[in-house]
Amino acid sequence: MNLEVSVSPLASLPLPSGAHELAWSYLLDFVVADASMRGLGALHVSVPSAALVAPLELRASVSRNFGVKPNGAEAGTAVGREVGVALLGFERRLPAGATRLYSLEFGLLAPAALRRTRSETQGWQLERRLNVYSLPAYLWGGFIRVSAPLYSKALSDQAMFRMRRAFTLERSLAAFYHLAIWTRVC
Amino acid sequence: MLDRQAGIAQALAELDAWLQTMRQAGGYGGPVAHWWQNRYRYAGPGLDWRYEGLLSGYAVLRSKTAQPKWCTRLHCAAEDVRAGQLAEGSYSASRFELNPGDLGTPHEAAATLGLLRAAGHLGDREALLGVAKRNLDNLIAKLWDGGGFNDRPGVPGRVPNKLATLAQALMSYAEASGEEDYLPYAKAALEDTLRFQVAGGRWRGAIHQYAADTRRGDGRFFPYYAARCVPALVQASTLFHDLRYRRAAEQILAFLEATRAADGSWPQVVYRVGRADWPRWLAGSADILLAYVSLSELLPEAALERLLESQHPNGSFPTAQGFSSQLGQGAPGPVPDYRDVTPVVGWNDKVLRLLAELLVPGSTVPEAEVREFTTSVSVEGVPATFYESAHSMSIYSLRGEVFYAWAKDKPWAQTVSAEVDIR
Repeated sequence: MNLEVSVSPLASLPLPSGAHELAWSYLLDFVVADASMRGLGALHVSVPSAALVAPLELRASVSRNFGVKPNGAEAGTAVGREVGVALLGFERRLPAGATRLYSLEFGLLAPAALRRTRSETQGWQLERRLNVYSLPAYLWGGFIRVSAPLYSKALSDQAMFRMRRAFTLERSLAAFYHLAIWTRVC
Repeated sequence: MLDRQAGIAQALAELDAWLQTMRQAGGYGGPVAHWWQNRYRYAGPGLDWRYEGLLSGYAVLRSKTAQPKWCTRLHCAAEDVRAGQLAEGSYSASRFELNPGDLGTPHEAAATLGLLRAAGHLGDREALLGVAKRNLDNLIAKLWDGGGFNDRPGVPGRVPNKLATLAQALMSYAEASGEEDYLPYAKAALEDTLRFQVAGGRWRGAIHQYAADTRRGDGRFFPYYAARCVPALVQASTLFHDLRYRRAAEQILAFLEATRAADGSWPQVVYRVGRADWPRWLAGSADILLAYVSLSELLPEAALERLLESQHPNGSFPTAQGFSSQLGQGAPGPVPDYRDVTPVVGWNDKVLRLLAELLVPGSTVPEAEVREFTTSVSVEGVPATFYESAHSMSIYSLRGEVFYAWAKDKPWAQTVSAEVDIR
């Protein structure tokens, strides 16, 4: 599979650190794993930050059926004919011939400017939605920051586990990130 | 004694056979369950601390037995690390429970340490020393802040047990190469480790887990991580002719003795006030026992028995007891959590190494075959079945709902339910 990456910056996007680093690990893992397991021939990804390029390329390289080697060597033979597109940044135009779409949208926990980011999905059927960095996780994160001055590591450790347990939720509760997976129907 | 040695040899045979089922293109893979985070979706090779135990263990087996297969194991594992080195010196997917990612700590130093232990047994010793040097140079370039080593580039913070592993890799490179350029860095890392040892009181000898401002420890004391400091301190005591390091190691052992339970287990963490007992390591307890070996102390029999008796029928060792109690810290139920049962290469490598150290020289490790393995587990309170063969690993509910499915030759799991994808 051939991977093409572009950077399409999104204003107001938090740095991929802390809880957002964890969120991006979920998002990038899901996209690359799904593309790899489906045997896509090519995957075009636009990411909202240059800081996400290296993590994405590393995931592609360890997938082996991708065309990016650890040292950046040339792509190998494409595995299949399906083309996937991951619109994770500002750019929302779909290249021709794409049959699988990973579209990142922003939920109620995100700044208003990000929430306006949308993809055109006419002609696509929603297969699944992944809600990442949920409201309960956000609240537990706040509790961790508040409890830190109390210097109770036992308390903050328990809060950390509760935060991680609630980090992704199948139900469409308020979340920072929503990753929608679409299949072309026409 | 003879029965114990025969038992160790058999356990090694079955463990080694299982480990070979966990190989895929690029190296040893598999999911990860850990105190900090879990990774079940990514199950590809991890060039992390699993290679410390794998390379060290196979090197010891090569020395103690006349069996050629250990040389083959060494060659394969060393080649995994060499081939997976990135242009700047990092190793691909070296972050264990945070994989995929590079610049894993202490993981890259641990893998390099394993490589150094193996190098003397392999024909391309100089090439492997070159791999190690590039890795260590990169770690210094990225983490050294002028006074010590941070855990992340540009972010102040000391993690003493990771510093001990890094110091051990730096010292081992010096001993293997005859070059002394790294020794000042090793000393700095060791002095930082000593700085965060508890000098008195109930937890005398314990090592703080983290110092966010590089000055004050965080008041979390993990018996497992304290034990990981011991081999480095013992090595340093000899290399630098400084008994302070040995005394520090002996004080850690006293802390381990103070926290060991009657059944041979250790709590996960003790705090200044309170403790978190669960999960209690099973496969990982091998590193705690290795601390005793490093100091030439008698192993606590209950701890060794607990470890040996836990071995799965397929040769692997389970990760822990009590993951279901990580949240809340109540007593675990009768059915183990799926994370307890999941065998992780990056914990089983520690068992390989310990058992190799305990094996008497001149022994022969028999051949073994891997059996299918099925057992009851709980997934977020739902009764389920864990199944593993030589080719796959899966977890499914009693109604047949698939929580997890992974084909062992693939880097990504085919099915990961939300319950199992908790990180």
